[in-house]
Amino acid sequence: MSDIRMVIGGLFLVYGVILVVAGAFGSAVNLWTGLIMAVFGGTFLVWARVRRL
Amino acid sequence: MRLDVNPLDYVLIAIYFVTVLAIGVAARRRISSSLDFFLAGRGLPAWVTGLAFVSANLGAIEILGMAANGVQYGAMTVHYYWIGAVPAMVFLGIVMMPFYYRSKVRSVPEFLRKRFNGATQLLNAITFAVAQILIAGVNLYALALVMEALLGWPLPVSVVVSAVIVLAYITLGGLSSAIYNEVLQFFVILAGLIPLTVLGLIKVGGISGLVDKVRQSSLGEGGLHTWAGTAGENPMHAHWIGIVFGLGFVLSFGYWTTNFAEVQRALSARNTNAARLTPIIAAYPKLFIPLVTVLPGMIALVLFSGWGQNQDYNNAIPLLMRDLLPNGVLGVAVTGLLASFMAGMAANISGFNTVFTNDIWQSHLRPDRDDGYYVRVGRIATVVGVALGVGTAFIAAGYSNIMNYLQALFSFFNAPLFATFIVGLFWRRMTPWAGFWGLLAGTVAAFASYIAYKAGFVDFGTELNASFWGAGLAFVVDVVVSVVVTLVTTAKPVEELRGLVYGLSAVGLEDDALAGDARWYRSPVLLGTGAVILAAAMYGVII
Repeated sequence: MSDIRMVIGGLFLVYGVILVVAGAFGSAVNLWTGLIMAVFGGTFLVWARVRRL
Repeated sequence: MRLDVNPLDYVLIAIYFVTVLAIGVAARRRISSSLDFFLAGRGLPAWVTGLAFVSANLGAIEILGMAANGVQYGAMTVHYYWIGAVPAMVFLGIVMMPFYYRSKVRSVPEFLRKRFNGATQLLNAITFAVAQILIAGVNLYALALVMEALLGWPLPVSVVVSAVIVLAYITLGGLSSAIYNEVLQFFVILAGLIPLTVLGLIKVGGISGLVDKVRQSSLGEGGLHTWAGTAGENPMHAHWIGIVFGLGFVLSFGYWTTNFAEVQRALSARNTNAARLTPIIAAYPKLFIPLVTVLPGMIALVLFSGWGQNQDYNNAIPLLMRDLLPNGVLGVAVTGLLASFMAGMAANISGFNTVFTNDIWQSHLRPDRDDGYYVRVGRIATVVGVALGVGTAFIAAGYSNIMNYLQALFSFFNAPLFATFIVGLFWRRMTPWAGFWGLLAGTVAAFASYIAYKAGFVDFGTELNASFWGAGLAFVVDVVVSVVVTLVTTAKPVEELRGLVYGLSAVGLEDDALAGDARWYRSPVLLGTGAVILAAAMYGVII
């Protein structure tokens, strides 16, 4: 929790997953935005794991 | 103008607020000294302080206002980002930051105390503290107005709820929590604005569709250029000399190099190199932010009608949100707006509590107490600052014109401070009392020219030209008074000026470079030059 990259990654992953689920039943805009946000969040989580403070 | 927000959007908003408060709680555990509270322990990497530096300036007033300018002036609005920010940010990083950071001061007023005297420090601290509270109040009021219009929340509820959240995370975690939240806000704001811009561009038929439609709009060809019309007619009614010297030099250097709410982010970096890189790293996102503010403004110009008559320019982004975003992404965009309001206010409040505690309370009223005492004062100052901000917001709700005047006034308030800094840094003879009287005279001149303009004694044409001239006048008055007073008062001994003026380096200061600082991608001069070249190249695209 002391690493801001984990917080950014976590928030975007959660947002991304929620939007992808919402998009699967509705708007394509939600689906695509959700996918991009999830990938972005995942990248931050990986960055934080690979290069620790 | 109401957004159709549903429970899904509210879930996304709620998740964000929980995260913000969690950062505050987590940051609290690491606070053991006043340095931790006020300067985040001076331990942050440059990318964190750099993004916080951009974010502190990415308040919602800024976002909605620049989109509004995009509707009103078109492409010329990018001057506020490119010539009006990037060169000054690079100058701050390359030239000024070593003085700020290496002198180990905690604030801009404290630097003035070291270079000049306690009176100069107090003068700057008081004007800064008052300005921050008023600006925080303006911010809160603007937030409440937007929330009332978009979501139907009653005005007092928005004011109190957002004030309490900002208060909670700053009192808990001090500057680290403000900075971490600013970094998070930066990404959330973009996550809301990017889909908006992309969908808007698709709707108007891509860049070429937008260009055609702007040409046919009320702005016409002038809305597509930045410099081409600046020797004659252009949407901003500004001459290129005014843009280069007024906006690009006096206003911009004044704001970016001396505004403590910004400089504080760099002072919290982990070493001199990271502090110098802070505003330079910030310059890169700054170059591209107009793509998600000015560009949506121009899209709104061609998609909606009635601008300036029955349609408020400030509604550009909200209108696009309403018509283009489905529930879900809409929640993210609303979160981004809320986040940007808080970023602005948190920057004001964390600047205020540091300057109040350090430069007013500790330096002039209660010196020599233990460190824990000043952390407590800082927390109390935060609470009082937020309370005063809330009070200001409610006053603003009653007299909204006064707030517009204040905002315009503060936009060039930093010009005399910049004059004092520049003369003081490069002319070692400048005396302590020249610092004080120069700054006082410059500040009074800024006030006087604005009041004279508002009262109709002088006519500058537009508000924009009034701020160019007001800032320029304040700058000149400051320099002249500083020179005159220097000639009749005594200078500081050279030994006391080491590390504070150009050409007199501090002795016995160890090198704080870290392994890897010598690499090219951590060179302030190289990256700074790159940012300026990139800005010039981008002007080339829409000259």
